[in-house]
Amino acid sequence: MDFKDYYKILGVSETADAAEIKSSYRKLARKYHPDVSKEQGAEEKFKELGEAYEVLKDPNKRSEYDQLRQLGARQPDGRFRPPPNWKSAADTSAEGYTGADAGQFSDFFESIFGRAGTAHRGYSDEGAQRSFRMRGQDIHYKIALFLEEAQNGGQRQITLRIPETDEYGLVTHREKTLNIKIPAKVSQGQHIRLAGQGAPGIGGAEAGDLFLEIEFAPHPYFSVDGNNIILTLPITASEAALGATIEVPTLSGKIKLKVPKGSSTGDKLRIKGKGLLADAAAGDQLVVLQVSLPKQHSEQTESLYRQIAEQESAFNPRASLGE
Amino acid sequence: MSTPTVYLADTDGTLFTLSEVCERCSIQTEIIIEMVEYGIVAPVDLQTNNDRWQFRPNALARLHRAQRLRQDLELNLAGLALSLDLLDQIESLQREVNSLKHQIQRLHGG
Repeated sequence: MDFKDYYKILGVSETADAAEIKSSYRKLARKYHPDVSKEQGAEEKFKELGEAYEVLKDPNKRSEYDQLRQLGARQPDGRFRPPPNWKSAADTSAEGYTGADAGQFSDFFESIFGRAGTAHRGYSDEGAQRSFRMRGQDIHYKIALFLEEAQNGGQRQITLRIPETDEYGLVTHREKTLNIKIPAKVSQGQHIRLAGQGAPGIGGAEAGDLFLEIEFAPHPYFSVDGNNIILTLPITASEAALGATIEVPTLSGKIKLKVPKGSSTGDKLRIKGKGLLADAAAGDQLVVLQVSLPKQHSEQTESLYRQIAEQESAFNPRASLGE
Repeated sequence: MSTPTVYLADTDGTLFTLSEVCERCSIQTEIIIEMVEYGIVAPVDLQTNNDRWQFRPNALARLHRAQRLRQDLELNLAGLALSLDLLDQIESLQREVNSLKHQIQRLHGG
């Protein structure tokens, strides 16, 4: 395994004092907390920080780590192996770790400090352990749906990491794949529940539930605004000038839309009831027109445009710019 | 692999009592009551006595998040309430920015 440089992870020097380590940890923990940071890998980074702080804040662990750091760095292949017969003072201690979730520390950490503390955490009374029953944890999970799926419902396969706690309180994670039937008309931010699909209970107690929070995945051409959906519709100059009936996509298939004569870029047309379905009232689809021209015109077309320019010379599209 | 089972997701609007919320989120009752006072979460009907409070599933997710932030960053409840409000605002602004960016891209034929 690779040697973890806890000083580097916390961004402090080897000579940093306890106050400096604490302040650096707090600053980085705020930055990389998975509930705050949207950065990729924030969760791993946060766990690493917790592990580094667990070691460096404790003078005994820190001095053991410092010894190993000197030895470990001198391995010819740059990899880390604990020296033969290495035994940490923390390994046999019954008090365990004070960190938030000792079960999530790395193999590197366990190779130095053992995992004795993890297993005993919170279970000091042997008698109580046997009769211990606890409902399984709920699992909360975000799921991104395409608008069509959220509207019409559908089937989706998801893979989750489910924590399993054994009778000694040791937590392991297991991957679980579920096929889920999504009901129709779910909305952004809505939570749906799958009873009993969370973590298994301890000592025969019931399992937790799985909660899925719905998010809308970006759609290739629709945007969402509340219950309305917005479509940008490119049209030709002649369609804008003369009016036209154009086929446009909606969430429930194509429909014919009448573009009025004399339309311009930015004009909005409303298609009633073609937005997101909701229990109360369905939203609308808003169509934003965008006049689009070819990059090149034939000579004939150019001469036609010259005629238009003469005919419409009174029109000033830049009047609002004070020209 | 054998054919996976299909699970029906229910949107029946299950509500949870205060004691159920405590158990599911591993937070003490008094702290949840305080969190309600700070507006971190709200029961469906705030006017009723707290032994008759009922919470929607999204309150559970919010309390989990609140609890993690409180423990990991040593926030007090006022700080926690402010942080969660700001995080919510950032999220909704971010969604709006993304949606507007998409629309602009399309307007420019992107």
